[in-house]
Amino acid sequence: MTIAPRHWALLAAGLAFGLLLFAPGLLRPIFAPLVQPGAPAIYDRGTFLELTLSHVLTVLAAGLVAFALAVAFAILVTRRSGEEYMPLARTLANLGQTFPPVAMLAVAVPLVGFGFQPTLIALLAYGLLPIFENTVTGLRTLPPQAVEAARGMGMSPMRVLLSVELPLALPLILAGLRISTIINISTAAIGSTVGARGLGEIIIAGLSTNNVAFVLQGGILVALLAILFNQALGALERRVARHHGRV
Amino acid sequence: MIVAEGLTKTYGDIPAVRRLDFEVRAGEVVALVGTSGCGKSTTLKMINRLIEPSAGRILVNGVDTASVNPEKLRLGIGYAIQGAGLFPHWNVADNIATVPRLLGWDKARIDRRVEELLGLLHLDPAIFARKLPHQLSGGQQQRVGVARAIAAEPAVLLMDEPFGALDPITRLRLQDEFLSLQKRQGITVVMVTHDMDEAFKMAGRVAVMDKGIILQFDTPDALVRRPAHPFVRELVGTQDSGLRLLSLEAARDLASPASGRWQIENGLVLDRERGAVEPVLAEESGREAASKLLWQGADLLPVVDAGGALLGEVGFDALRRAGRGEA
Amino acid sequence: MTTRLAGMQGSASSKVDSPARRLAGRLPRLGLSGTVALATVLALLALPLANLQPNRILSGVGYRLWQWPQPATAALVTLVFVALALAAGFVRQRTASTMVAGAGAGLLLAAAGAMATALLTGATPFARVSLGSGFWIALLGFGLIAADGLVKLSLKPLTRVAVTMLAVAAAVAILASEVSRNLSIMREYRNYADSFWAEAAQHLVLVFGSLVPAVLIGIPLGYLCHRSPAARAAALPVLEVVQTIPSIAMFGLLMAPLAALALAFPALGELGIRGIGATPALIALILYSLLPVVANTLAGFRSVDPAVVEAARGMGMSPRRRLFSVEWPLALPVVVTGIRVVLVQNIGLVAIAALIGAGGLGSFIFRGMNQTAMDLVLLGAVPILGLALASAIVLDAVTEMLESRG
Repeated sequence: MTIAPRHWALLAAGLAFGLLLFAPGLLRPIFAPLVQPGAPAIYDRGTFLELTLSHVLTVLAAGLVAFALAVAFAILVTRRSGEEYMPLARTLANLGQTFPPVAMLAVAVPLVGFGFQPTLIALLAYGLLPIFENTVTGLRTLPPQAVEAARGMGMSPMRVLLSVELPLALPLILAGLRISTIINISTAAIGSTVGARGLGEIIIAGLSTNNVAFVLQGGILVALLAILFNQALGALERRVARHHGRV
Repeated sequence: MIVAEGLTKTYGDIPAVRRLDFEVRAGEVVALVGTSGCGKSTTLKMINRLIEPSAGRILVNGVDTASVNPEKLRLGIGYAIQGAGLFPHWNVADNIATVPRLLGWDKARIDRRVEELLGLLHLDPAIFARKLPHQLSGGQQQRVGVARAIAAEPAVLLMDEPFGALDPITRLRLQDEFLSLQKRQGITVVMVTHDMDEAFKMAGRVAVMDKGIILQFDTPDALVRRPAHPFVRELVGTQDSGLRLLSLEAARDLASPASGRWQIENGLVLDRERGAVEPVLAEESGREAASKLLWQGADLLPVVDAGGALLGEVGFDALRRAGRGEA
Repeated sequence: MTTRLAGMQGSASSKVDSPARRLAGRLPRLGLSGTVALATVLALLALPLANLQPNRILSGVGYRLWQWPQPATAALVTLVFVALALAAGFVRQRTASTMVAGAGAGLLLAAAGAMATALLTGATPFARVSLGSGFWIALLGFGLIAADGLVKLSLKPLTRVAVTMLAVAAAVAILASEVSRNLSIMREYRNYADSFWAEAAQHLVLVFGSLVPAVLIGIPLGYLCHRSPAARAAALPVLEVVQTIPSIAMFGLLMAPLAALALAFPALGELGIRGIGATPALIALILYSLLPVVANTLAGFRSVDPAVVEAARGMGMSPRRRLFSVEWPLALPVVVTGIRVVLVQNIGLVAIAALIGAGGLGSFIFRGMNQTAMDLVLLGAVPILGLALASAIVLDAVTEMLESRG
């Protein structure tokens, strides 16, 4: 069996990530030359494992809520009775995507204070948008014959939705989930500037103490986290798409 | 006009067109027919070198096309395709002016030519010249596509299923318009179609292709009466060969001198026995004459010319002879 | 068959008779802007329009519209804004309701400023009045009704740009006028007036300083990807991975190598190439901008109907002319969409670049967060939002104009 270069890169990324998470001490000799004498070469105000976990948990918790809300909204505005709200929903989604995440965080802080909450607001908002957009697109670009055939065979609207529309829209919905997750890994990292616990704080700490090693460690961890999530969710997406014959 | 010698195209090891030799004479309309994948489009596109032959050569007016710069070659050969392929960001006039501009015609000459062509194809220049392609119907787009292809007065026109994307009525109308245009301009046409009716109607000679070779290259009449290959017989269709033969004859040629039965009053044609009838027009085919006879329950109908003057009469006897190829 | 028919009739008649249906038939239809208008009224009544803070940092007490210090004014403004919101939401005439909503947004800003002046009379010099949650939500409400109205009016692209410019000018005029001088955000502005415009200029320098090279590299690269599957297979995955890397990490990752470079070659350092500052920011931004430009250029060229290209070839157009007079004009609208994505994205990303000392409006955001001075944060965030929105609207208009040509 031959392994494609892409897979080698992925394997290397996974290994590097594991090494940083579970045995950062081994890497001390690499980072030591980067710091002033006496300064710590490896981040020491929390373990990488713990910070990664809290980063991932924050993203996943917000992501789940956002996923449920976004899909529900998308179903609502694509039904006959919710049609009227489609323009509003689109305007909001468009507006939201023009808002830079850092500005959203900044605006949220005066409203709810520092810490976890402003990050959560930003994560929810940015988690919602791509999933909503993609679900709406998925539900509106179904092959019309499939839906008509389902209706013609006497399926109830709920049945049509559950057994035909949603499964056919699934690849696009998953693409939305992937985009939303990647954006949120980034937003959660910026959230550290307003006091959310996560990998961003390693970078912030590095920047404020002029410690290049910290900045690098944080940067590598956040980058690898995003890349690995993107690959994993992308693989899932391709699998579903292949199954649906919509490659 | 166009001569192909040993024309061959292979993709890898797979032959698409095999050692074709044929000749298209100046001013004639030739149709290449066959099922999809038979090599007819490939053959057409080798004439203007959109596809380069693997072997053999093509002479246009005695000049080997391989010796000419392909762009220069194409500027002198019209090209019309299914769906027209109009440039969506240019208006109708700009689309038609494409090749004249490439050739560096002066503006006044281009404007005159555009107006002339729009008129020839029954599109009012005042209405259509500034319209964008997406504002036109399918039939109008195809008309503009034809106008664009012949704008620079090419001696040769290549057409790849030019009327294929149209509804049957629009297609028939465009075929008629195109035929009269072709006759007037004396342009040499090679067209690809999979519609036998279209080929029989438009072409003086038809080349039936299968698996990269020409099985038979002959007049429609000969294809029906003397198919050289079972595939040709199948394609032409044995069950309606009688009707096909009828469709190749003009009513003018089938008519016998008129008896005293017909009388023309105020443009109406009257049958002394049955009252007003719808006459057969001289340019209509025997097939259309048969249809009119059947529809009106008549055994004999008058044949009139475009001006309404009586030319003669046609009945089932004449049609029966023509349908069996005895005309 | 018969039973099925009967059943169908039964369900149809029960639908007509259902009490919920009858009730719904009697209620006036709320509609879209009506719903938003009611939410706006609710926000204005229940949430504070302004917060009175003892100083710049401590949080304060919220004042709702109807809690205006002078009771007569309180009654008046409350009535006026409820009326404005309802008129914006329920007037059927579209132009009228859109204009009312726009006016409502402007008046709300002016009212907040006036309320600040009223609240500050007799307060200590350190006291501040900041904008409350009621203000932001009501502003969003008016803005949405106006935006919805503008969309449904389907204005011409240029008119839309003009309306946007007018709205921005009106907002700036109100903020710059005497009415708003007591709002905390304007006091922050006066403290930082000099550096504000310098940082705003720096923000734009970074945005366009990365956009222009990205476009110059990205469009040829996109065309190359269109022509060569090998180039596509090599470039796109790499650019996708780059796009995946979170911005803050990218800025950080570029720091170390650039710092090392400057250390090894002092000449580079003198040219301004350092681990922090504008250089890593520009490099990161260009890297981010490449994918949308390349991907959209590729998509644009691919969207050109193959029949059109074949027709051009068949008529004897040279490859060069085919590219410039047929393919490129047809691909352009999609390419511009990519540039819009990059522009809006960069306006936000530049804010984060302030973390590595690149300057820009983001520096107010992070300085404000360090000092927990929320109005300083807003001094950075509000112009960034405005810039992003305005450029999105303008570039959408450009795309539409390009598309309407073909």
